[in-house]
Amino acid sequence: MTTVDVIDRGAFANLLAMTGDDEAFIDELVDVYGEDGEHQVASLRAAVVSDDTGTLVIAAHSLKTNSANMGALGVAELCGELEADGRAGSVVDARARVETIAARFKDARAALLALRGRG
Amino acid sequence: MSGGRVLVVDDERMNRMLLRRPIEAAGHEVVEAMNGREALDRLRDAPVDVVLLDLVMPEMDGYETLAAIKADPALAHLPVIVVSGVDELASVVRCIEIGATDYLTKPFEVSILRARLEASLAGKRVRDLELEYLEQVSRVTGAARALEEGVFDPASLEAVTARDDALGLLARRFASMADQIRVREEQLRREVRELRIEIDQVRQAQRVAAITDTDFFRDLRSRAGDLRREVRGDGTGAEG
Repeated sequence: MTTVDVIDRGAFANLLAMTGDDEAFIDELVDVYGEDGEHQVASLRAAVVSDDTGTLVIAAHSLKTNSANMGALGVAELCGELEADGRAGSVVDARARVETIAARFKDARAALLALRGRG
Repeated sequence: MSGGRVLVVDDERMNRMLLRRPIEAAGHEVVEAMNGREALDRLRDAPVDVVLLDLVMPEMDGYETLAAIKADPALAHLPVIVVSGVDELASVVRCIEIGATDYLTKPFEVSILRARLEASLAGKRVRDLELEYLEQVSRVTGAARALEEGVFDPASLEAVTARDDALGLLARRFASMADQIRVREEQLRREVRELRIEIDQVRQAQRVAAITDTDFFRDLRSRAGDLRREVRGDGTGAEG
């Protein structure tokens, strides 16, 4: 999967505009996205194991918001659907969906690192 | 105009970073909280002008936090802008019904955030000026009451007399009249004191006269005169 597929150029351009094209700040955001995203994926996995819908919803929401900020709209969409189902109390195939999210997050993180020239 | 103090409430580090940056660039101070409980602690620690509030947070979510802010008379007037990844209409309606000033969805446009933040800060400043005005009006009415009770302290009006508006003029006139009344009262008291002294002197003179204007006193004086003459040796009575 290419960077263009994983990271929405328009959304990423919006992020650049938000930050005044401050590359150092973008680098910091990419680091935060990667570090916090790992915790959020771990929380999603733990929530599936313990059948904890509350934690699942909060972790999905956090990863959705951060992904949307960074232009990782695919991850954001998957997380948004999981969050909505969690709120409705009907999460089907939770484990498989979380693993898909984890894989897409990994791609998005790699794409962001590539975008800033460290990939 | 000096910057405002903005409380950013969000459990996500990235969101706090993204919010902090444009707010500080606009000249405002940022205070952070990671959930509703922390936000309420911060609000009670020191004054804040605007709250930017996330909704989905652990510990205490944004809806509960917003309701707690609006239920506290000391905080209810604070503008609260919800900045959330929840973009459902029901959530927007719920927040506005609880008392939110505005609702922004993430990812937000910096220009929209700035515009709404500045509008909220302007509203807060107007509200603060109104509160200060009402407080100073109550100082003037309190001063009138205090004057009637004889306990007026000119220092209580100092902040109001410094105002450059009609209320300041009223307070200055009031303070000036109160000062004139004080001077007249002091003068009257002095005159009363002097009159009392005069009355006491007249009374004393009357008491002396009441004693000296009697036949008995005149007889005593006559005898005393006789005795003095005898002592000086110019009389005859004492030797005979």
